[in-house]
Amino acid sequence: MRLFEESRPVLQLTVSQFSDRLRRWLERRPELQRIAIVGEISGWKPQPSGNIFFSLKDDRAILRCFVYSSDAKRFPTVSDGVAVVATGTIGIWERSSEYQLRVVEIAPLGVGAIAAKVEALRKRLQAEGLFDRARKREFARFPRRVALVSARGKGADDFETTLREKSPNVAVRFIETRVQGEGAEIDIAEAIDRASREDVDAVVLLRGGGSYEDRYPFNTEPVVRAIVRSRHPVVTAIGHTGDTHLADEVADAVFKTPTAAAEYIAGAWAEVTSRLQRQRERLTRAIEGVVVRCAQRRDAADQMLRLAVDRRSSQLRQRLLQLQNRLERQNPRHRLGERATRLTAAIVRLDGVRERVLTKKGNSLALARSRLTSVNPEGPLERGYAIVTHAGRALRDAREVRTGDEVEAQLFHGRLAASVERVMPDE
Amino acid sequence: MSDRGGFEAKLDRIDAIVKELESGDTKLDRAIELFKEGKHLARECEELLKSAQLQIDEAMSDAAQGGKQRAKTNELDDQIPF
Repeated sequence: MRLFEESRPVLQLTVSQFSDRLRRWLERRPELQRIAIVGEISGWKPQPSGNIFFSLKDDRAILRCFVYSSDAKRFPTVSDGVAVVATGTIGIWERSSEYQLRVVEIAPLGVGAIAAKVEALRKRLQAEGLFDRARKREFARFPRRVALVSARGKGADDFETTLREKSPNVAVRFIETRVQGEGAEIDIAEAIDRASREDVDAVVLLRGGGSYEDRYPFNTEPVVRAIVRSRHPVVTAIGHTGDTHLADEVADAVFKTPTAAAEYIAGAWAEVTSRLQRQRERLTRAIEGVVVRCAQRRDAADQMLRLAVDRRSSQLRQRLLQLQNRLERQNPRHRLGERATRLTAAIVRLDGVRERVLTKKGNSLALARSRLTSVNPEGPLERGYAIVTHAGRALRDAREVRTGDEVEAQLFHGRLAASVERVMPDE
Repeated sequence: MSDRGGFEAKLDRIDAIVKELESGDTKLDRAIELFKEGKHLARECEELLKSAQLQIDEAMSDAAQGGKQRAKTNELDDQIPF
């Protein structure tokens, strides 16, 4: 079909006119009103308004796409790199000289049929009440042992590592199973049944990331039924995406990642362990506090005891000292000294008296001696005097004799007989 | 400290002796006798004080030793098993 006839003269239009014509033409094409385009998503850009811009591409071409928020709400989760079938209307965007697909429906390629099947199953199971909140079982706050149903790999490792770290006392019974591929859902169901026979407090169903098809087993009836008949509460962490699988809906608890599941299980243990540790520290500090206070009181008591005893000792010592001083002042030695002084004084006085007495006596004696000497008759004789006697009587007066009388003169040595020649009385 | 009864009594006796001597009208030979008694008692009191001090010092150091031993056992109790 030819748009323009070559033989016509060259059409000249304004940009707007041209755009209008192009649009009108396009809009008259019914197949472009509802067309499905297959391609890979790229540049997936959700806007704050809820509308989404993206592109569909293959190895040669690219088609810009747009979704209104009202349609986008209903979309399954898709993202860059996902191959999809996008259904919508082709339109012209004049302002950017673009043609765009306004997408009203989108589905991962090939998944459409599967998704429909899963959706149908979902409705049936929901009608049985399998997804009801009331069915959900509480599981033990302090689980001792859990069964891990998973393939070997990073998911299982992450789970076990986190669990060991946060609650090392929780034991893990690993029940290995395929988690994707043909018939995997039977293996998974059998593994869950095995877990029921174990003595555990919970069953953890894990699966790492993967495509919708890879995760399909967890959207199947065998797995759902196995979870329903599980003797223990079941916890799922499937796919790392936010996608909800039927297994998630029927499980007793759902987590986004294996690590989150492990943290949940460890939760109470970890909390209690840290509380215990804090209490242990408080206890230790309290005891230490008590010990310290007791030691302080003992030290204070020691000191006071010492002080009291020392005070008493020094009181007594003081008193003793004072008494000793007073006693010493009363030392008889002092009184002896006094007595000695008095004695000495007495002796001195005595001496004095004696001296005087002796002197006096001496004087008297001397006096008497001299008097005695003076009355000694021989005394004058010695000095040349004579004692003249007459008739035996010593003469003192000349008139006691007459001339011619016979007298005797006693000399100091010898005598004389003499007669008086003349008498001469004192005038 | 049972000697304390004897100690105080001795001090009191010395006090009495000193008072009598201080009164002044003691005959010499009595004064000498009293003085001798007083000095003797004072020496006894000094001995008693010395012995008391020693006993106190011993008691204080004994108590310190005992305290150290008790503190050591407390450290061993520290490892409370949980």
